[in-house]
Amino acid sequence: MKLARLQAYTTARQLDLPPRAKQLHHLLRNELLEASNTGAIADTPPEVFRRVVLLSEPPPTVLEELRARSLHRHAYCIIGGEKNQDRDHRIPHFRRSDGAWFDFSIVVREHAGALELLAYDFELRFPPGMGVPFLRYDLNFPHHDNAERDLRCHLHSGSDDMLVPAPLMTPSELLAVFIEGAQPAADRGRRTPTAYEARWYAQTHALARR
Amino acid sequence: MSMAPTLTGMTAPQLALRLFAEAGEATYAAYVIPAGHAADAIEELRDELGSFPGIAVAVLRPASCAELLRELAGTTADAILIDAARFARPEWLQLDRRRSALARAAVLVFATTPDGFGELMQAAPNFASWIGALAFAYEDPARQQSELRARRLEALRAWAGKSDDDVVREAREGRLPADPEYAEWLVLLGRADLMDPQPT
Amino acid sequence: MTATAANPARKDRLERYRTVRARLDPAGDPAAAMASSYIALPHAVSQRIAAELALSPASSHLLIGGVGSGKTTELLAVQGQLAELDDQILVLYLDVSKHHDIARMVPGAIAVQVGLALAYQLPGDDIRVIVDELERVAHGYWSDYGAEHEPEDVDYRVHTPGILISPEQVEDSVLRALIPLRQLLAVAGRSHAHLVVLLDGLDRMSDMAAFDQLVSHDIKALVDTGIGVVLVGPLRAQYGLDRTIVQRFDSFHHQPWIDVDQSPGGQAFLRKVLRRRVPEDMAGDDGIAALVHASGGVLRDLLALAQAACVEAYLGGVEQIGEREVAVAIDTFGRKHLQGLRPAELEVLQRVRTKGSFVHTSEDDLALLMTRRVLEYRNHHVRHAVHPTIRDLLASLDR
Repeated sequence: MKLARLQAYTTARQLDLPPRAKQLHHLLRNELLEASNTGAIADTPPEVFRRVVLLSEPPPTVLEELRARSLHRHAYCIIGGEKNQDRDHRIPHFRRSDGAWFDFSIVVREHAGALELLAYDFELRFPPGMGVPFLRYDLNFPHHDNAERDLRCHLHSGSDDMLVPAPLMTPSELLAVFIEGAQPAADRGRRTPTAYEARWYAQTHALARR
Repeated sequence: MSMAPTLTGMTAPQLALRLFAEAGEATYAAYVIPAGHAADAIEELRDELGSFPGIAVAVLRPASCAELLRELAGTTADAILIDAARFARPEWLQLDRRRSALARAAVLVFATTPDGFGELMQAAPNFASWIGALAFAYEDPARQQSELRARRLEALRAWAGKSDDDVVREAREGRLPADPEYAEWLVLLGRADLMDPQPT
Repeated sequence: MTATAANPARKDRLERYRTVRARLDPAGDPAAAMASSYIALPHAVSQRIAAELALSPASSHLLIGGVGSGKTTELLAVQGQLAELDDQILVLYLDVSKHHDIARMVPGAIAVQVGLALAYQLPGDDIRVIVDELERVAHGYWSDYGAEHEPEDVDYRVHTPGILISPEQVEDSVLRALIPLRQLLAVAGRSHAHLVVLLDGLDRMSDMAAFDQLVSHDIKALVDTGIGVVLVGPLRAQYGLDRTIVQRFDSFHHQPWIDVDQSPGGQAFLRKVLRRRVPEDMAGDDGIAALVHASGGVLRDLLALAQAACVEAYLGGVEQIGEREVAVAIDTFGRKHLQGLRPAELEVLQRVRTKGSFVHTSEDDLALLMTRRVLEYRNHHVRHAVHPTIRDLLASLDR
């Protein structure tokens, strides 16, 4: 509960989103297309178009039944890249020009002429030597559990088990962080790990093997 | 001997991307759509082309070549989609003669049927030469969407070690974790309603 | 400072592609491309026409060539060259098809369009009366074609032609246009000794009888008035019985497709044309050569294929047109080029492809020439070949 006020502060932010899921889909696709044109990402324009997809609820034949039972909720997924829980490099994803790679998924709902952001996960994975193995920004969907609510919007920095509060962001902002923001400074080369880091990773690896 | 090879297939988003690259210059394209599907395909293409910044799109549905030229004279969009599904040989013949009246620095897409396109190629060689390599057959993205949806559900099941029924039951019972993966799962199953607080 | 901020000049691939695309522009305005991109073919038709007109400004010339062979470009080149050869010659370029359906050409229609084009070039209020008369003559011709004009926009008079059109009526129609035209010529004569008109757009006429009548009346009347004429005519005017039309002109000029397989000079010319538009960092010499061969020597197709290859390079994320991009462009173009053909026509094409034999004895055969499925080369001898983009596709059908 200690973080409740912090979480309320970060998630209360009014997001600037277009009113329709399709418009958000197009917006993100155009941002990635621009990144492709400038070389910020290595994916070609057709690859961008193939990977950023708007998936709605199931097809009309199933949807009619949902509508009849008032279960239809105008909810959509906007996905960027294939599902990749194992972080397999062979599964289609977006590639940054420095070797970092990412994918994302967003769940939204159209309601009363506005778009509600229900959930997202954006994960950026780094090549060795670039600080952390991955960064993942998650927005969980609204939950009745207080403990869950306090950390509804959070960041995993290189660990699936450790999470810290993070600000609620628009998908465009998250893309901007991934494409331009989360990068080592140009005037600093890659650091070699400190003795502390090297020892920590070695001991962690040893624990995993037991 | 086999029939002539088919045109290269292209979905509306793919074609829109290609045409967006051509925007700003005189560009003429043909989109060959099965009879009866022209209206939907044109709306799909209008939606996709209009998604690019700075691209104004107009749709014309002329009954004749003369009507087309009249309507074009009053249209100033960056991309003009022309439903030419009703055009037969006489219209294409006239369009070929009046080709100069089409000229403008915009993207013009002629949506027509396979038979209509065959007539265009035979009756309007001058106009056909303006189309160049920009002639494609409509491809319905519905199948790709369906396959993608199936793949994602498969990946979610493998990740969680649960079935769709497990997820729905846990959501009803208020036990489903709030991870974004489960939100996506529920939407793909058409059960986004279960993300709302459930009655206890 | 991030790596991105340190490199603010990251080039935009789309802008790079669009810059080259603007120079290719196969369907664009040839006049716009003249200044930056025109390269004269050795022994170009325009040079011969311009030289003949400089010597004999009231001569008549018929220019015929296939679709996309560069006829309009050559007309514009005549305009430029004549201006350099003799500044006493006023040269007007006119696309007859732009504001008028050439399927409904009637005697006098060309003469009146020439008159209006001349009027717009001449300064002074004293020609206003003449222009008004020309416009009345024009609207009388065009008043039959209600689709062209809104009734409330002009002084609209409905003209109902009789069923029979007597020879006297034909002569009268031409004369009505000639009288104001001669008056304008007198005004133009204050600054120029001669007028030459370059008439484009009639290559798309399919009614050869109507074309013959235009030549017999309008063109003859213009030439008799002392106006030099270069007329782009239909391709079919050089075949069969229609050949007699050619003899009505002082000179006949053929704008050829370029035999890329058998003419090293032709290949070099087309490489130069493309290189003028496509920089080396966008296409190496191999890419250029492949595009030249795939074009079959048809200039417009060369530019269209290059454009298609460029967009493949952009979409494929590569910096230069290579083998893959050219192959995709050829395949897409070729598939389009084969649409609408009947089995009998495919058989003819197979024969041309495998044996090089083509004898056009029917309208269908002529249509294969006019639609550029069959290309006719007139280098040292007449040779026929299928358009290169359909060669492999036809071969795959034959297996």
